[in-house]
Amino acid sequence: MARMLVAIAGAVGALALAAPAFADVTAGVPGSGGGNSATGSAGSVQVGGGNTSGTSIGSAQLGGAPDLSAGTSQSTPAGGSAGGNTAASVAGGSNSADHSIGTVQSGGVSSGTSASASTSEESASVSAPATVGSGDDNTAGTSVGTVQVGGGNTSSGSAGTVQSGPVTATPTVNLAGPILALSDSLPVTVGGTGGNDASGSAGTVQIGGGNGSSGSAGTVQVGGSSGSTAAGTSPAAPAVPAVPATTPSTGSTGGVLGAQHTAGAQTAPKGSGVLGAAARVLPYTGLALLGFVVLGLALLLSGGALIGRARTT
Amino acid sequence: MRARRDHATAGATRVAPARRRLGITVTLLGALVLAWVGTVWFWQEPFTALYAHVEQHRLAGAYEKRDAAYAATRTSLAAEARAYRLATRAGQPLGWITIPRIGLHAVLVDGTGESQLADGPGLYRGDFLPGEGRLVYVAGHRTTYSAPFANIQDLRRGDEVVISLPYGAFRYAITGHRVVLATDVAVLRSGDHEELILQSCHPKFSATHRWLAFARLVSVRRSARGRPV
Repeated sequence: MARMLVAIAGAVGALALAAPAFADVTAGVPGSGGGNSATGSAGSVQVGGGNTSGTSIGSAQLGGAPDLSAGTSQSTPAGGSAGGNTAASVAGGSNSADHSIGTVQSGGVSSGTSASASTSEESASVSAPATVGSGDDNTAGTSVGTVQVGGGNTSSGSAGTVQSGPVTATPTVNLAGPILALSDSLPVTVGGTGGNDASGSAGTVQIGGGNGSSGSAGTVQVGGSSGSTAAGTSPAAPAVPAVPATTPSTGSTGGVLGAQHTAGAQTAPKGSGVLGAAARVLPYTGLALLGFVVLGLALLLSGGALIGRARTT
Repeated sequence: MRARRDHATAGATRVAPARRRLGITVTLLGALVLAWVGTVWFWQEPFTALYAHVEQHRLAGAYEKRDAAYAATRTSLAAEARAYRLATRAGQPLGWITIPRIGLHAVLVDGTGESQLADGPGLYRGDFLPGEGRLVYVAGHRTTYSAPFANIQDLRRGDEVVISLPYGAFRYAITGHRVVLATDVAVLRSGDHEELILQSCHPKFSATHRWLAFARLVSVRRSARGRPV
C-alpha cells in the first residue's frame, strides 16, 4: 500500500512537471485580480483572481476576492440593542507558484470583527480590525512546501518556507455611560516595509515585511515590531470614538535575526537597455540542495522511529 | 481490571500496523527525496530538464520563423542591433548561443526572469545585444532547467563563445572569471566597449554568489540577409 502511494505520487509529479496541460485540476471563483491559470498542474485550488501555478502539484492560492461579511442585530423590549459584524477581504495581488509542490499562497488579508450593545443609558462596543500584508504579488517558483500570507513574498527555488507580510491590528473598546466614558485602543504592528525574500533557502520563517535571506538555511526573521497604546477617559461624555494612537507606530525595516539585502552599492545599470530597471540581486540561476538533504534525512529518521515504535508496541 | 487491560492491548494491536505502514511510507519518501538529491548532484534536476527541453524545441521553431522573416532596416551594426533589441519582448527567442567547451548549443531567450531562465539561457534586459559595443550579459541555470551553465567553471582563457543572431554571428573569447556576491549588481553596469559576461549561481548547489565568466569580442560576421537592400 505504501509503495503504491509513493509510486502514484512519483508518477503524478513526473507527469505534471514534464507534460504541460496533462492534469489540470482547478477550482476557480471569479475575483478581482484577473484570471487564474493552472496549466499542466495537479491538485490546484485557486480562489479569486490573478493566480498562476503552471506545472505544479498541490497548490492552494487565494487571490483578490470579493468582500465577505456577515452580521446580526437584535432589539430588546426595553429599548436596547445588540449586534455583531464580521468582514474579511483579500487584496488583489497575484500569486505565482510555477513548477512548485505543496504551495499555499494568499494575498493581503484584511478582517474586521465588531460587537456592540446598548441600553437606553449605556452603550459598549468592541472592534478588532486586522490586516496581514499588502496587495503585492507572491512568488514561489520552483519551490517545495511554501506558505505565503500577505503580498510581497518571494521564495523561488526554496524548500520549507513560511512567509507573512506585515501584521497590523488595532483592537478598540468603547464604553459610554451616565457616569463614565472610556475609549481604549491598542494598535500593534509587526513587520517593516517591503516584502520578504527567501530565494534559494531552506527552512525559512519570515514574519513581517522587509526580511531577506537568500541562499540560507534554517533562518527565522521577524520584522521590526512596534506597539502603542492610547486611552482616554472623560466624565459623562457621549460615546467616544477610538482615539488615535498618541505614539505613532515606528515599524522598522529589516528582519531581526537573519541576513539582509545589501542595498548600499546597488545601482541600476547605466546602460540604456530595454527596461533600465534597477536590480537588487543578480539573476537567480541556482538551487538550494541543502534543504532537500535535510528533508530527506528527517523523513528517513522519522520513518525509522515510527517503525521502531511499532515493533516495541 | 482485566477487561481494561484487554481493551488496551487490542488498541495497541490496532495502532501498531498503522504506525508501521506510516513509518514505511515516510521512510520511502525520505529515500525518494535523497535519490532525487543524488540525481541532481551527479547529473541535473530531471523534471525541469524535461520542461526546458520541450521549451527549447518550441523556441527553436519560433526563432527559425523569426530569422527567416528578418529584414534589416539600418546600415550600421549598432543601430541594427538596437532595433532588434527594442523589437524583442521578454521571453522571445533572440538567437543561438554556442559554447563548445561545455557542450552548449541553446536558444538564447530575451530576459533573465524566472520564466525566461526556465526556457533557456537569458539575456539581461537592462544591458545590450551583441553589436551595440556595450555589455552583453547572459545568465543560465546551473543545476535546473537543463543546466546550460552547469560547467561554467570549466571555461578556460581563449575558449570560444558564439552568439548567432539574425543580423550576424559574434565570436567571443573567454578572458577570465570572477566570483561575486549575489547582490553585487554593479557588474550589470555596462562599460563603453563590447564585453560578454556569462553568469550562473555559485556554489553549484547554493545561490549566495554568482560565477561570472568574461569574454571579449573577437570577430563579427554580418548576415547577408541582415544588410539593408
